[in-house]
Amino acid sequence: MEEVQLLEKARRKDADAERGLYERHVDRVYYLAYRMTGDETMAQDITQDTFIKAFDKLDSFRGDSKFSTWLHRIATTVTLNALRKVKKFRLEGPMELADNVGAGTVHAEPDLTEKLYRAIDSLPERYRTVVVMHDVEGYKHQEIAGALGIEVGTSKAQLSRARAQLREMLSDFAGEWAL
Amino acid sequence: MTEDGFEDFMKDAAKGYRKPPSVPREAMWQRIQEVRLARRARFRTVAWGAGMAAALVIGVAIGRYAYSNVEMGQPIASGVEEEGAHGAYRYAAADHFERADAFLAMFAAEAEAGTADEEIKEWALNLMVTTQLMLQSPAAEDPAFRELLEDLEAILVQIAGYEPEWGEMELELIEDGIQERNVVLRLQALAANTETFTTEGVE
Repeated sequence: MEEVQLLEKARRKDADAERGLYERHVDRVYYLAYRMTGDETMAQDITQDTFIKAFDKLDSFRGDSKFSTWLHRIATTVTLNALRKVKKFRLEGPMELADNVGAGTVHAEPDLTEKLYRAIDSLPERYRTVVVMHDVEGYKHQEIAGALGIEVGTSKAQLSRARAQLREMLSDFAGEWAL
Repeated sequence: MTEDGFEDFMKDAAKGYRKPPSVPREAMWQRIQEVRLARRARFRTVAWGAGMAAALVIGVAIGRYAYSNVEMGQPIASGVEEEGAHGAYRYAAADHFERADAFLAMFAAEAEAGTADEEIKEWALNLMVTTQLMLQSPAAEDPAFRELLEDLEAILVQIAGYEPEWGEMELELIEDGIQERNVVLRLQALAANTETFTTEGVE
């Protein structure tokens, strides 16, 4: 069934159509949530919350943009809100749990790739989001712009600045990445 | 070391950044269904109370319409017969539109200031139930009234589901809906026209 038909039926609360939309988009939403948080439970909560909100607000989706763009706008908002809550908790709550959230795998002697991951972790949120979406998950700038509510040029500029920061952070390894 | 070399390295290495596990599709879908079911049950309970309040609001407006005919020196029956039940319900709808207009203005201000809370949510729910009752009433036989009531309902459903932790984007989606449907201007126009119509009908 075409997505337009699924949307039309889902607006009328057709459970099969809602499931159809879920099946089409859940992987991408989950992958993004996981890559952003590095935590399975958070990624599941974010994915669930994204679809609950999307189904609740389906009437407000007028079809001016692609459904996937609209859905990812919700997903990125839910993800960034969740990360902010964790950050707040990390500042106010027990450090042990907070330190495990979003930290990724840690090795005693990290190789260059591991260094890169740590460097991505330490990027400012807006840069890390664009890097994860573009370089990790393969979103196009058009999709990133739609999801984050920014201009395409801003997405490109943020990616460029993020890469420059990563190069700077990994400058000790300069030369190794060309091998 | 070239920039291109770094970007190639990035493209290759970044793919492994926080590699996701397999997607627990079924478990997440079950949870989504459970949450939505629980919300609907809670919503029905609250809506029952709101329905009682809404019926009272409509009754008061209709009573006021009939009373205004008496004040004008006309018997109630004559005024109501002339306009039929439609006049009374249109009057009640116009009254409802005025309150909805005031509510949307307040919601916009509160959302912008980040102070929208449970009270706003409850207010939206009450207006939404009144809107739904209006849609079942003779007032909705007028296409302009029906269309506006349907648009208003769609917006109020969203606001009634408001959660304080919502971000800017969610509030923007609601504001976009209000703007796109031109709801505020239509509320004001129909409320004003209906008042004029009612007064003219009574005189």
